[in-house]
Amino acid sequence: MKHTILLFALLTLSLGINAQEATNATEKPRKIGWFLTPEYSSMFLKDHIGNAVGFSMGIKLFNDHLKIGFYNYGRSGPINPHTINTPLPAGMTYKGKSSIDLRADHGAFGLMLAPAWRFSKVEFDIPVYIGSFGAGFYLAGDDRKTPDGRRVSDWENELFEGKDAAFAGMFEVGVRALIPTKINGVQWGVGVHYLTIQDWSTYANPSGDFYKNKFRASFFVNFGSKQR
Amino acid sequence: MKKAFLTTVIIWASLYVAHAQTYVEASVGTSNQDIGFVNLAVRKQFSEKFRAGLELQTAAVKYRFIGAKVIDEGQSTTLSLPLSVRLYQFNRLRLDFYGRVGLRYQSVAEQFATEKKLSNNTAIGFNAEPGLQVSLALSERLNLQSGVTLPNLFEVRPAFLYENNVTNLFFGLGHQLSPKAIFMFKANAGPAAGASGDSQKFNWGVQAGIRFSLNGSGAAALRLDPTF
Repeated sequence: MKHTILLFALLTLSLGINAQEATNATEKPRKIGWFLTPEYSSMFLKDHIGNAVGFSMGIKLFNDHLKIGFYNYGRSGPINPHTINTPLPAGMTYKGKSSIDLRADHGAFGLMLAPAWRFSKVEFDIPVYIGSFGAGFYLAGDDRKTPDGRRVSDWENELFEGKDAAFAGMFEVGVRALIPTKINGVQWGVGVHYLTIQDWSTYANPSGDFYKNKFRASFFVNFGSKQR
Repeated sequence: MKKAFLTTVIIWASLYVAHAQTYVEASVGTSNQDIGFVNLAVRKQFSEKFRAGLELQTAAVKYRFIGAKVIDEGQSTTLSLPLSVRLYQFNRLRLDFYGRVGLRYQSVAEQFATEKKLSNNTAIGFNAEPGLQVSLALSERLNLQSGVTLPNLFEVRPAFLYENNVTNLFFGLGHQLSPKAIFMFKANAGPAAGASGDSQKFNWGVQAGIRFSLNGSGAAALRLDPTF
């Protein structure tokens, strides 16, 4: 589903750019610009800092004062060694253990709206992310080798009563500074974002406070159409 | 299915007899999925705007999946058809739509499949991968690329499942060594999800190799293609 939406976005972006300016830029003022922003971010989560990787992309309208697009970032378990010791339900064990160290992973995607202004040569924008958020906790390392050869997710469903992961709606707002480089159309930048989620709960984190109401710092390179 | 496959092959074959700049590539690399892999590719620059090719990657498996269960030995081979279309260019910066479809074959020893309770010792998969690539011509001999692709991997045999969707951020560097030889370095990384959490959660890879430009060279030859 996520990638269907993103594919649609890519095609829309392609059409938008083609319609406006498909080859070398001319002196004719353009109406629509574009941006593509790969990013790394640090998420200030419960008891640790999470590493996340993602991107945003889209079009720029109204003299580049409004960005509309998609965002997608994820805090993957393999690049986040932090574990959460989780007691199993009463009477249940896994490989002789009554509690397990779980890793966490997360993915977020949705619509991005970002009003933008330029002061001197530095651009500032206020990215607002509205979308979907999926996150959970999973058996890691040797625990992924299940004792009976069944799939890991089958075991996770049994051990965590079907609540190893969950989806929720998310809202994030931030502010970013985009600093120009010598190359027109290339900027680098930093940002700070505030994330909140609604009704996300899992077996390992029933209160949902692992991700809820947390800050995130982003570091990125922004590619885009010729700057005005 | 057979008709569609044959049509694709005929279209691609007819493209290859067309007069166009040809690149032949050979590279080696490693990733979280493979101990090592060899990548061979032929690409045609049909016009300044459009490039298409044929790519073969064969690998010694480190951490892949058959039926959403881990295989840590065996082989994986992917034959893919990548293409790119220019969307925008201004001075040294260029944006391309990138797309790839591929067919993947994986195999492990029968004994391994029996021990691990795999449903089969071979698997066939399919990859559909849209993306956007930004290229920066830093000099006449050096070109950097970055962007994102969205590989969608489906296993179609022994069982149909949505194995992984990946947010694949990539970086490439093309450096001209001689009029017809280009050094290639590529890296990629990004979060992944799929198969109820049983497959890859994060992907990364690096590779290096040489591209030969068979009939003349030019700035286009320095512009490498994304890797996954």
